Amino acid sequence: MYLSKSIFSLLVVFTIVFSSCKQPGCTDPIASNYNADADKEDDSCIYDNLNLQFNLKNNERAFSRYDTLNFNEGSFRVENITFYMSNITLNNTSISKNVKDVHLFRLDEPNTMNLEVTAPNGNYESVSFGLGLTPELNNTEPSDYPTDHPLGLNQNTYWPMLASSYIFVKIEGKMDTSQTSSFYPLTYHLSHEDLFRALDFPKSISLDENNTATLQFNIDLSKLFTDVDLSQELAHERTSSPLANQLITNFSNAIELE
Amino acid sequence: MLSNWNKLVMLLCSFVLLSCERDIPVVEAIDYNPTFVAFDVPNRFPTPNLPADNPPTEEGIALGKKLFYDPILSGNNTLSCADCHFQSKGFSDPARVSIGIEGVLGTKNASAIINAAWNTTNFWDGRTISLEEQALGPVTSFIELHSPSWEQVAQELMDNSEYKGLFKQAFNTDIIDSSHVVKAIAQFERIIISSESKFDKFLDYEASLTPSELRGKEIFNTEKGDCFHCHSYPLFTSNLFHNNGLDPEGSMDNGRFNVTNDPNDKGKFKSPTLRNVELTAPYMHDGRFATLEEVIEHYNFGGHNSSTIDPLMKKVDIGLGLTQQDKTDLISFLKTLTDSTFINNPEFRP
Repeated sequence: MYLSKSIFSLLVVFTIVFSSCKQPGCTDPIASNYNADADKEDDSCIYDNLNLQFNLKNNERAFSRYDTLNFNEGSFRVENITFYMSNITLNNTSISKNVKDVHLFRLDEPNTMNLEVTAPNGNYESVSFGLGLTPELNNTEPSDYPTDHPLGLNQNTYWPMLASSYIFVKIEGKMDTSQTSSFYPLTYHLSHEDLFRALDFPKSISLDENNTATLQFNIDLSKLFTDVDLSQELAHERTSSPLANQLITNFSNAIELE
Repeated sequence: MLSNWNKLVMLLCSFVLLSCERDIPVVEAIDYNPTFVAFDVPNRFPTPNLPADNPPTEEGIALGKKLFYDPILSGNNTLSCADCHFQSKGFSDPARVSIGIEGVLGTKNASAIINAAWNTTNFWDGRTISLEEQALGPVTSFIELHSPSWEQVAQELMDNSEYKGLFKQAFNTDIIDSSHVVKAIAQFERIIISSESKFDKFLDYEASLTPSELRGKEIFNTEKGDCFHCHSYPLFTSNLFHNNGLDPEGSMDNGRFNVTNDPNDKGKFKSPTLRNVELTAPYMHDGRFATLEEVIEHYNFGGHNSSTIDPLMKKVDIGLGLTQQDKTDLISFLKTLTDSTFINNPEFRP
């Protein structure tokens, strides 16, 4: 009896003590080896095995903020470009793996030009994303997010009035159509749900824990103004205009995966 | 006397306990008991980024308010923060430029302190990120409070038995320095929130707008007036820097260039909030416009083109083409942003 009581007390103590011990492992949900059962970080997390790098180009030439595009109808000095990518997905015949819900590219924030994500190891055949926001995301508003979130207030990408919408693409700069170096402000904001474009880029992508794969996306700005009547203005309105549709089509066509 | 078996049990338990990493936080003995205050986020406002090292407390906010209204921070104990930031004026200065303790004229119109908790930068040129950092500058600036040094200010506060107690209560310190002062002031500034204007009540279905105000709202939020790009709801500021065409090339104030040293930033200033704009005259960084009518006339004229004019100033050299009725309606709408609860809030008074 004495012995069994002691054994019982020992078992109780051990049970309590061990249950209070924490399970080590990777506790970060965005890491590729996230362990949902772990509640003690042991620095084992593996991150960012896929980089999406965005490069601005003017035809084949590298292009930077404040550079000028020259074309037949005029010259455009690019001061800012922003665009949303949503539902970034890696695909093969058996799965489509979402690796990022939303990303905001901002030319004035160089760190947004390189997107590092974590994806399950494996072989993929394409990467796809939406240019703009999926309807689910576009039906939210900045107050739903922390201020610095890609959809947060500090991004200044939300048009709250009339047919409220995030601005999917901003093209801002100064245009000279007179060929006399008289540059005037020109801004195109593309912000309607029906301007969302689903893009798919076939590419053989192999991911493993030892290597970080990089996908180089080039955005050829020389295509921005194809078939665009530069004398037309684009305003925020309740419906999308033919001009807005032409611009979003041009922007879609400008994105290429190396 | 313990039996051998019980000794064994205790020994094993000790071993197991020692091998298991302890996650019990070490609590240091403290002799102060601040009352932490939850930040009250207004409806439709996002949660602001608040500094983890300066959580608001009742004691910190009360101390910040006392310091804000106390000329003790100035070199000759004659000027306080509140002397350039009047609550009745939306915590702005009705003087075109503020005047320092020696009568020295400043170069900028004092910015309104409204919803500063959401500021991503401070000052017209955005030279500070945090409100704590912002509060450091004016105390020793020769055109503002012009105290000889922060050390001297801190000594004066430590020589004051009331302040000594208040800092102890707020920050558990007997040694006061600039960091405690600016933390307290920042805590107070973060509660200076305006979110109960007529327009807010309109959005809450608690007030209706007149036909003129509704027309003004439409002008404000479309390219007709094109105000919304830089002054969008709910803060009515983009927190970004713009050259809105006030001056032609060669005559522009450096503005943001002074911070970034980037020539592309010349003439750019932070867009101010338009909340309570009816009360925050004069307008622009240098207070050049005395009335809202003058401001609207500037945009209606279109402003001056330059190499750094903002791409959003799409009607530069052309003008908006607003009629007199449009201007009247726009001003009617702007006045719906006045928040009488805010300017009469006793929590903001000394």
